[in-house]
Amino acid sequence: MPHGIFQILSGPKGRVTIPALGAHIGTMQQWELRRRGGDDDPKSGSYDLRAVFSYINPHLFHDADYEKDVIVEFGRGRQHLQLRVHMVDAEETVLRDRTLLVRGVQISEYRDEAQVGRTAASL
Amino acid sequence: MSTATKPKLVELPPPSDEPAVVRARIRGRVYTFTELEIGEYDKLVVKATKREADPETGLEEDVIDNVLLMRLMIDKVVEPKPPQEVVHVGTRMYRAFSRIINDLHYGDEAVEILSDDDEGDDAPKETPAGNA
Repeated sequence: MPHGIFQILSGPKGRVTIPALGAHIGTMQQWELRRRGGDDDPKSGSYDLRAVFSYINPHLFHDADYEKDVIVEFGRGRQHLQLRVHMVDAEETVLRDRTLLVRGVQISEYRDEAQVGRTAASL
Repeated sequence: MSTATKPKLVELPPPSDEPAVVRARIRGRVYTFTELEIGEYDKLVVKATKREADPETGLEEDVIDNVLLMRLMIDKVVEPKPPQEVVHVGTRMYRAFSRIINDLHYGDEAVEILSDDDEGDDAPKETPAGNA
């Protein structure tokens, strides 16, 4: 888990889904997570997310009735990692055309069912 | 001479401006389905519309994702909400919801086409007093 290690992390793959509807509402073609402040800064541990989408459904993205899953990916093979971006307490969320800026997000490691299955099988 | 009455062309529901409502028992629970206002329906259509490139022309066009539209409609139309999120509803149950919602929103509303001579609801009603 790279939390607290990196200042900037970026990649080409990411997605936004609404799990309750089984709906894929966004495909990223580029994203960047930038850590905020220094280690002593109270904002340390939160990040700014910038993303450019090849596809985004702005109507569902802004629909407060549905919880979204924002997942970004980086690395390959054993280094492949997925991060969940938590936007719930974000200070600011701006989606303009296909460009997204979210200030003050939290991140955590994300494992889909296939990864969880592989991990369990290897134990 | 036949005493059989001439069948009506349509069975009209009683006059109402209220949305249509259907109640159904599915797997032991009673659900109420309420017809969406057209403005609300339009909003769901917009949410379920994607821009996709036509594979032949390469031009982008709006395409309605009907699966997503139905899931959004289930979420808005059905009360009480199913015990699980739409995506976890059983397939047969989901199809039962879809069948009712399709009929409720895309079925033909019964109408009576009036002739030029027919004054419709404005026609003077005969009353016992008027006939006296």
